[in-house]
Amino acid sequence: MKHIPYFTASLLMATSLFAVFESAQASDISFTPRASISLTSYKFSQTARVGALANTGINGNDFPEITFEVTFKTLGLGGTFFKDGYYLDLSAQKSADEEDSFTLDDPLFSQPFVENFKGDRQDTAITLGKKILDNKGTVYIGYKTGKSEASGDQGQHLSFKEKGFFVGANYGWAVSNSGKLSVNIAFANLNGDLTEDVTNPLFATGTGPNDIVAPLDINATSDAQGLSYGVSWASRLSSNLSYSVSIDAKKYTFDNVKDSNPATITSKEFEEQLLSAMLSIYFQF
Amino acid sequence: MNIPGYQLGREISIGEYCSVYNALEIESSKTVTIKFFQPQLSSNPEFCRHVNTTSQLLLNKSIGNIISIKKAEWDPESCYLITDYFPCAQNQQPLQTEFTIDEVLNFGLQLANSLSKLHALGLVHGGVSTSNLVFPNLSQVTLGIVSFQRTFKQDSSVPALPVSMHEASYIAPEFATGLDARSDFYSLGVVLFELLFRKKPFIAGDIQQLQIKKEQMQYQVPDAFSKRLNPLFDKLLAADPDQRINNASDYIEVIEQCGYKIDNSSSYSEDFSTSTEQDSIHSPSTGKRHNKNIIIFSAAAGLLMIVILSFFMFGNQPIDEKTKSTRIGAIPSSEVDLTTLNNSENITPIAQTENKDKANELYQKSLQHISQNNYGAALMTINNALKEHPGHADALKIKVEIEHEFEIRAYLSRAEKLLQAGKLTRPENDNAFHTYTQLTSLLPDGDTRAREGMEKIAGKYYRLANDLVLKKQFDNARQYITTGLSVIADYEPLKQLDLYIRQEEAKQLALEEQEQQHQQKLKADRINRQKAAAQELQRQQQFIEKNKLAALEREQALKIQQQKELQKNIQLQQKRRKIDDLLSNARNLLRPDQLSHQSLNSSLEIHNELTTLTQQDSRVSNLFEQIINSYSVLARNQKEIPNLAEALTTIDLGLALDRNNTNLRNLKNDIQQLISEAENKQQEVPFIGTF
Repeated sequence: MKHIPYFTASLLMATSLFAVFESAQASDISFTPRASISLTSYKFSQTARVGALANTGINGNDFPEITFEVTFKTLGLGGTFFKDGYYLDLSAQKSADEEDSFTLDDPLFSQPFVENFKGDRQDTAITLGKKILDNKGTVYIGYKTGKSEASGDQGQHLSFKEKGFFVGANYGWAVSNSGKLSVNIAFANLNGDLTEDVTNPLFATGTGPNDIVAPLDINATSDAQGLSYGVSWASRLSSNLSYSVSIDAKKYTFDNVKDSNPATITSKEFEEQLLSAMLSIYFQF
Repeated sequence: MNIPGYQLGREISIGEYCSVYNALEIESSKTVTIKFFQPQLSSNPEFCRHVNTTSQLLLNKSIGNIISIKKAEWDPESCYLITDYFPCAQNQQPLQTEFTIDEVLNFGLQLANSLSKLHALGLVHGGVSTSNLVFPNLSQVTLGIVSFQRTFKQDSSVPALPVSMHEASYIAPEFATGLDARSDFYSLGVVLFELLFRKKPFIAGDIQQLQIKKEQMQYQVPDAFSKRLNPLFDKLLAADPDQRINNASDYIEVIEQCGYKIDNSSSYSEDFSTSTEQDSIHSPSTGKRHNKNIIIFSAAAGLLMIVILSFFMFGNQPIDEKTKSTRIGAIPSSEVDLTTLNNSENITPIAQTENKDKANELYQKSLQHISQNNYGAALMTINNALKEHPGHADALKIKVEIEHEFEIRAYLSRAEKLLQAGKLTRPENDNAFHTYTQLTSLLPDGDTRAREGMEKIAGKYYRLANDLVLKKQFDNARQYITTGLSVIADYEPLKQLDLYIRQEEAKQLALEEQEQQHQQKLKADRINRQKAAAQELQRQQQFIEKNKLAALEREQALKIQQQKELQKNIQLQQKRRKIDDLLSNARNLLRPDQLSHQSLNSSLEIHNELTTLTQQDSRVSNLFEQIINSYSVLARNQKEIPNLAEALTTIDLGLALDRNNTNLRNLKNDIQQLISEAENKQQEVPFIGTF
């Protein structure tokens, strides 16, 4: 039952893309919808928060460095409008929930603190590109959003969002009329929005219900830089179907973190790394 | 100047306002006086109207002792009056007669009565002065006509009339503000003063001083005896008009106040032997002059007729130096004792000798008058001579001659009058020619006056004839010439004119003959032309007949031709109809919504059929172009489907018909490119880049 929303969203998007296709048919604009699946190795890390647990004495007053690694199975939908060497691409990807755990072993605890997190990843992008070099390459700009969320069973909730403009280019080589091998690289200048709600009393201080302080809560904004690069192989399956297989690596680095509570000690740096292997199917009208 | 009915005579005088002439009234043979107003007045219509209006009131009326106006004329050239003979002339000669107070007062009464009558007509005289008086005798005075120039109400358009010192002496002081009846009595006062004392009451160096004296009444009766008359002159010369006498009754009353008796029942006092209808005045001191007056009056009565006759006939001054006349200025200071004229029976031998000498002297003088063509004076003189010596044979003879001359002149006058009236030779016995003919028997040998008169008649006929000659009315002109020549047979101008007419008629006759010959020639030419025209007409008629036959043949040929053309047209119309049908079918087949290879093939077949039916019909060539275009249209439709292969086939079919058709070739290139692109697209894989 938990996949019903994604199915509904996919159905709505497919309906929209079909409407777009019908409209494009009426003009000289061609439209190529696509669907993709991918396996993405996701790794999140944030540096240790020195002194963040000063009132608790846990872990020498420091909240340790956190890493969160999962492999998402991701479903993607998108479509591209082509017109006279230009294209406008819309894409959305969403992964299924995956789990990982956080363990903090400290002598103050009777047993290690373990919290299991479950989260997912969503990405959307809109890209405007132009074919260059006799259709052998493209340059493009675009706007993208990305969001990684995870909720722990000990009451913690994490949310890392980034959004902003990107610019990039790719280049391809036709390989003996059977397909095209291409490389892609892009850079993004993003704004980050980092939230960590740590409600577990273990990390809280205070004497009464109204005097609880959660020192590990983060509600911060930051700058973020994104880098994406990859390699792809595309070939036709039939007169209307094509496929591509690609391997892409993406990295988002958050710095200049500023929490809304100046007293909050946050990590100096947050980082997300994604490595995907994606299979896409294109329908060419 | 010529005044119909009057023969202008001697000029009497020329004044500032008018010129006065004697004239003979032809009809009555009376002497009259004509007064011509100067141009400055006669050119003023208002003045002339004033003269005319005033004259109408006075025309042929006896206004007391004021001279009668016989006629007033006003024409664009002049304005003049004709009055009874009145020899005054605005002269300013000094008075030569001494009058007694009674005589002067009597004159004053006559003048006052006359002025009162004039004033009763609403008129003012304005010209009462001694120079405007004539004294037929010592008991009667005649006043000249009204002074029109002075009674004329001036306005700005008429310049002010000049006033001389002489005139100013008689004019009332209110002259500047206007004259009225009282002003005449003022002038009467001046006149009476002057008649009595032989000088004017006011004497000054200029008009302004004179006016001052008038206004201040600075006059003085010169002798003590006459001071009795002071009340009279005070009343007549009063500066204030309201204080002045203004009618005859007042005048009589004042005179009686002065101690003089007025007798209105008779003209003269009881001492006078004769009486007139005029008033008279006498005083105890007037008796010494009465006898003299009786003698003068009775003697003058006889001579007056002769003098007047002389005036009437010749318009000359009738006053002889030795004739007793009371004309002021003409009366000699020494009076002639005319009583001797009435007592010739008692003449002594010495006296007879003296009379004979005097008669001879008068006879010679008469001859002198005759030599001067003054027959009136001559008759008067010869009569005087005969009175001196009734048996004077030469005088008697001369008198007969003078009377004969008068008779001749009567004829001449009558003839001239008839001539002027245009009665040249008709009516019978009352025409100028007849009169001159009668006159001829009266004239002595060598007297050419009748001849001259007849020449006038002939001359008039000549002018009449000449006018007609100028108008080429020769027959009528000849009548005048004939009549003129009957008056004077040898009147050269008429004969010359007659000769001229004859010459002109001869010329005209010659011209007419020439014209006749010319007409005859023209007639002959016309006949010849008519003959030639008839021949030409006949030839043309033959030609027309021939042409008619030819036209008939052409008409028949034309009908056959028309029938053939009709059949041809019918066939042509059928063919056209068929062509139209075929074209219509082809166009239906080529409608864009029905285009197909089959419809194109069918339309091609129609085109081929039309090609055989027509030759160079633009519609067929247009149809072909339409077919080719339809291939393009069909190919485009197929391209849009897209059915590129079918479209390519269609284009190839079209190019098979017109390999050079640019549209099809371009379209083929497009489709081939599309096919190539489609093929390439089939090979193409999606190739985009994104983050």
